[in-house]
Amino acid sequence: MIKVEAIVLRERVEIVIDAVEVATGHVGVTVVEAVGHGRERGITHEYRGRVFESRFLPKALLTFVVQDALAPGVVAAVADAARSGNDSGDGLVWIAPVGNVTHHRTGKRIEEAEKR
Amino acid sequence: MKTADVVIAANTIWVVVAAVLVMFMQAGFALLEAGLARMKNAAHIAGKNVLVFGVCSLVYWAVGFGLAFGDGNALVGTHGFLPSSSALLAVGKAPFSFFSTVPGAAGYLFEVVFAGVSLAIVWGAMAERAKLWVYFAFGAVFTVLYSITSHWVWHPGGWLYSLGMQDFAGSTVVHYQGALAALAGALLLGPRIGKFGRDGRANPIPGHNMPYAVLGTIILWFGWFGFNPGSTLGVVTGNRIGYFGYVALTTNLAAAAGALGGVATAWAVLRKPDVSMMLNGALAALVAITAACGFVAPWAAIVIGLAAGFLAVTGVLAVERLGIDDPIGAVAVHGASGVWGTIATGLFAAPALAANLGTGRGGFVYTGSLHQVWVQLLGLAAVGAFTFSASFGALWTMKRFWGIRVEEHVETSGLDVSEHGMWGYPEFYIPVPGGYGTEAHGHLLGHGHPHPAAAEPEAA
Repeated sequence: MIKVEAIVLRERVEIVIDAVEVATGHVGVTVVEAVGHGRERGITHEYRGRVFESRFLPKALLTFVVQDALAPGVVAAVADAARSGNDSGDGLVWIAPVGNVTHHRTGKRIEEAEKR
Repeated sequence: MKTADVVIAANTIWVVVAAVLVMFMQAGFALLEAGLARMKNAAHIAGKNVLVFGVCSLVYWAVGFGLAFGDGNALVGTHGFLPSSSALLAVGKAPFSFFSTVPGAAGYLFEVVFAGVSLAIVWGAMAERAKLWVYFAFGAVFTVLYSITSHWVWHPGGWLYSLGMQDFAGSTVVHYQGALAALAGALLLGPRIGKFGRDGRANPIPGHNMPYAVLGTIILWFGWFGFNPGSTLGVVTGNRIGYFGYVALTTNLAAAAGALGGVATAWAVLRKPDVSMMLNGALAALVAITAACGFVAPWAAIVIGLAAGFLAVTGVLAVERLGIDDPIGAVAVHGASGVWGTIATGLFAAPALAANLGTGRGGFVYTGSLHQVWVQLLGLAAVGAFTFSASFGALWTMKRFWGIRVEEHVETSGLDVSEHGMWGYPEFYIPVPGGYGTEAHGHLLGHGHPHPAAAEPEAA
């Protein structure tokens, strides 16, 4: 199995999840609210005319655990759907292999369960 | 002092106290509307109450008070614009001869807070998507429209008053009228992004803070003790001394019945005793009893309140079914209930109380005559036609030439940050210096060590 992780803008979360399902048929995701920054190093805010810096920006961390064959499709779908048109801050997507992916409910490995 | 002067003094104390209570209803609207809106719009929607009350207060002094209560003809007041201190200090003299037992200034204060309530209702249905400048522009327009119809119904020279329309404190004038403009606004703005799915089904968009909404409702209920009883405009009403106490009682009975009626209806229809529907029930009952409060027996107040509680829940659902997005429920709570309260007065007005007030006749259940109901319906039709078409026309023009709805990215980011440059709850959205997540927690470990010094504040 492959873990696909993506950092995306919070307002793109649902768009990205829908795009993954449409492109690959994969259903199932974990969303974690996250903060962070890329090369833009955060943002300057203004409050009552005074400025202050926020190093971090609100993002979301999405995790999809998918069959190996689906991974390239998921990555492509995420990258495409997460693009906002802004100059920076759209985030990243990456993959990593994971093992022993097991359902709590059945106690069975997902690879075996889905091979049936 | 002569006895007459003492009565004027007592009346003025009561009217100013009542006006201050009604002004506090702005706090109720701020909390109710903020509570029923999303977090990203909370500061904007609470803050706009201050903005529009400011607009309303100035416009009402300049032209509204003269249009509504200045001496004039059957359609409109024609005197008392930009009133001077001498015009406002006189009692029962031109241009405000209507106020025969309080100074014109007390009259202004009491009436401007009513205009402010009516205007506050308007934005409930337009919440979370209207451009900020519309609040200034339409706030001024609506204040003028409101002043004209309040002259029809409340000024003894007004044509609906002359027909005997009974609207003690403004179910029609304040609430129905605010809801008409709210409906026009909601229709022209269209629903919020995501309110209705592609198949047309309504998605719930929950408010972000129910305790706020509850507190707002309680403050409105409290303020209503100025709104209805204060509409006696004095401590002696006809031949009854202290009649305002009785008006407060009918008001409270109706609100109590409405809260219970609302929660019971929600329990039956939605299968859950929804808190926001209970609040809507209490508010709808207060709206409905507003016309009737001076005219009806205690049992009738309870009937009116219960029915309003039922109407509030079914009305909110019906408005949504029609594809109209009304985030706070203004159309159902103030519109449908305003209509109900106005008609109910024609049904339940006690002949003796109507005679003492010198307005209209007894209602259908006492007299068997539908005369008063027809008068009430005529008033509703006239105000409805005028205010809805004028509001729709004004907002349509603004939409056509300048646009009244914020851009999509403004709506999705929320009006707090996009219109005002700061969220209502900044620490929820961005890390703030010294804010949430950066606090020292030594006290939890029992160390009691001193907090590290905060960063030096920027030099001023």
